[in-house]
Amino acid sequence: MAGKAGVKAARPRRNGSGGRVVHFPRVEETPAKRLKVVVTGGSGFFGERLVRALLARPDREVVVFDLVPPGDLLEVRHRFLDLNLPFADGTLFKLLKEEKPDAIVHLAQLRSPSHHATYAHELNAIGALHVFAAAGEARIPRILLGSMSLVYGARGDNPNFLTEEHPLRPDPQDRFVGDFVEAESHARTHARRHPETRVQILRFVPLLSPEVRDYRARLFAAPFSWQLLGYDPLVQALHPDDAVDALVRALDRPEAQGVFNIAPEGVVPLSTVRLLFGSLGVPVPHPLGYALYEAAWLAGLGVMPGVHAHYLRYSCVVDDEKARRVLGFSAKHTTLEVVLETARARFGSGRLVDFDAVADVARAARHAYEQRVRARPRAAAQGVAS
Amino acid sequence: MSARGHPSPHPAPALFEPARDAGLTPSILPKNPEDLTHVILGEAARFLDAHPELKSPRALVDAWNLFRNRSRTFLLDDFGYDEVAARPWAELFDFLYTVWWRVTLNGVENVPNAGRALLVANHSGVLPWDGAMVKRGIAREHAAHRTARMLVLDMFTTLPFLQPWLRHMGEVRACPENGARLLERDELVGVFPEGVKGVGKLFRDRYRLARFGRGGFVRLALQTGAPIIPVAVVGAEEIHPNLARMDFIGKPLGLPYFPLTPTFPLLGPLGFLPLPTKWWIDIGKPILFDHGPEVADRPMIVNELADRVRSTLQTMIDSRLARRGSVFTGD
Repeated sequence: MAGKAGVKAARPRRNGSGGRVVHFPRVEETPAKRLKVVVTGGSGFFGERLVRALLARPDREVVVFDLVPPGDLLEVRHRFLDLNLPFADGTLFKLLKEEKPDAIVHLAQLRSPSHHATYAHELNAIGALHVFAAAGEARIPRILLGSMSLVYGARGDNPNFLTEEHPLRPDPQDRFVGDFVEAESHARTHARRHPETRVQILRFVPLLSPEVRDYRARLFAAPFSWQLLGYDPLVQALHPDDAVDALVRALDRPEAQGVFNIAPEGVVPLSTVRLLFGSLGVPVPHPLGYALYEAAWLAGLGVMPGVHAHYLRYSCVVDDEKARRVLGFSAKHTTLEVVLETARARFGSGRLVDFDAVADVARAARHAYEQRVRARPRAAAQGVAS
Repeated sequence: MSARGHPSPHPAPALFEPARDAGLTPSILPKNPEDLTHVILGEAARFLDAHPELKSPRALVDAWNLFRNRSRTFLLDDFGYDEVAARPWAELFDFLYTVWWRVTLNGVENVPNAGRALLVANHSGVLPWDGAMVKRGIAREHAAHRTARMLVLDMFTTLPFLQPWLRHMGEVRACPENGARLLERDELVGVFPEGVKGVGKLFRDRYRLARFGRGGFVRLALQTGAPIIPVAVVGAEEIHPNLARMDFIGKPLGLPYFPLTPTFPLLGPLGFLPLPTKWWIDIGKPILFDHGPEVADRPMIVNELADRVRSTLQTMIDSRLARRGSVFTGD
């Protein structure tokens, strides 16, 4: 309670409101310092959600570095930053010197493959290089990098659940995923050069919700898509609220450094995603499938380059055990719930699929997960950083 | 409607008054534009009105998708095991178990009713039917009808059609991470430490155990504290007598081995039909090491323990072979 009062006292007085100036009684103890967080890409889909979540917290202060101010969030401080400019690190350094943040959350990334491969590379890979370079010079104590779970690569010899120690083996031709791998390598170099800073890398499972319009959501929602004949990988889908929750928790735990997989409970075969979305999977032999995806991509009709079809062939499913143990994170939505609710919200009417029956199954599955998680011994491991 | 999109109170007089309004010529066009679909679609539109669940064009795709997935459920475990989808296949395996190979299963009581355990079996037979029979035998004859989760070689789990099918059956790819995760969940896990060396064994090497991998199964048992249960399969070596390995065909196709059997590739697809030998599956007493999990990082001790399991299994196989008469009748 005292902490709350302290925060109120620390709030600056409003000027020019014309109202009576209220003097709060002075609190003896010094108010807790608000953690100042810079969110790069804070106007994007993901960043804006994080900014909203941080605004709700009285002990956080947010500054957005982006090309445009974040939507209708007028109370958020916004600084213009274009990471695509060749010397963006110098600009960023000046901004960081002015703002003096306690942490940077780097989310200024394209989360779909782009036809402008150079632009995407400059932003996703070189942009991260700029951020780490400027943060190193400005001595920013903490950096969070938003990465994705696809960096492990879809391979036939993947274990069913990839842990953080697993080597990153995406297809070298897959530039979209390769850029995220490069961004992570910059993060590791930064951690080596500046041992006193804390670097957290969060590998998010691809997001899905009725609002998400990334390449994966578009692929699932397409009336038809090529299905690699005889292959049916397991996929995961993370709700954006859970992803934001993971970021907020990572900010709450400065002692937890390193890489974390952020994943929901449960897996769903790709065929089930197609079933729920009412999308027709046209089976083609897999070499032809790669070629057709590539052809559609080159023609400007496809959602992803052909090489990315590996993810429609083999599973790339990650284990969130470390995030549970160290960050105390646990996704509120299971994969089946995310897929089901997205499909129902977008294509729910006039369908033969009985969504209510599937929802019952999803509830039963959630119950099973909760039973299992409760049964696992976890208490001793709480708060251990690794 | 005015130019700005608001309905104007005084609509501008039409330059050309449609004839149907004058009532001179009857038109087939309905007054209400919403009825237009009924005119065009006729009976189909009335059908759609009666069945609102078919209104979306995706309903047609649904019909196909639901048909394709008719035997599947949404309730999978984390490895994709679909109990319902696996059930119909039990009939095929039951036929092979009771009629084709007339399997005799001994020592099923050595498998615990609950809790983790690691089945370690010899591998043979070119195609991994032995794994299917060990699994089916325990599911049929064990008191708790436990489902053994078999760890399957990469070469099978990455093949088209086999990949989703094996997953529905509850098998997982053989790797230490998967084995440890299953054992941590107190599952019954089956491994074939000989791996591809065992399944592609030549006929003249039958019932001689190959090297037991790199001792990964011992490390798995030490890390998870699971007892090792040796399983000796006799009879599977003769289902596809592998006379020679024609690797000059197999290597370009990316196969680890290409067998030459009396029926394959001579008889084409008929060569995939296994010979109806008589099988014995002997399940031995559980072996529980008195070492802690820290020993998993000491390769020499791991190798020694692996050799102990290997010799136990070899003794079990040899004693069964000594009592076996004919390969096909067993007498």
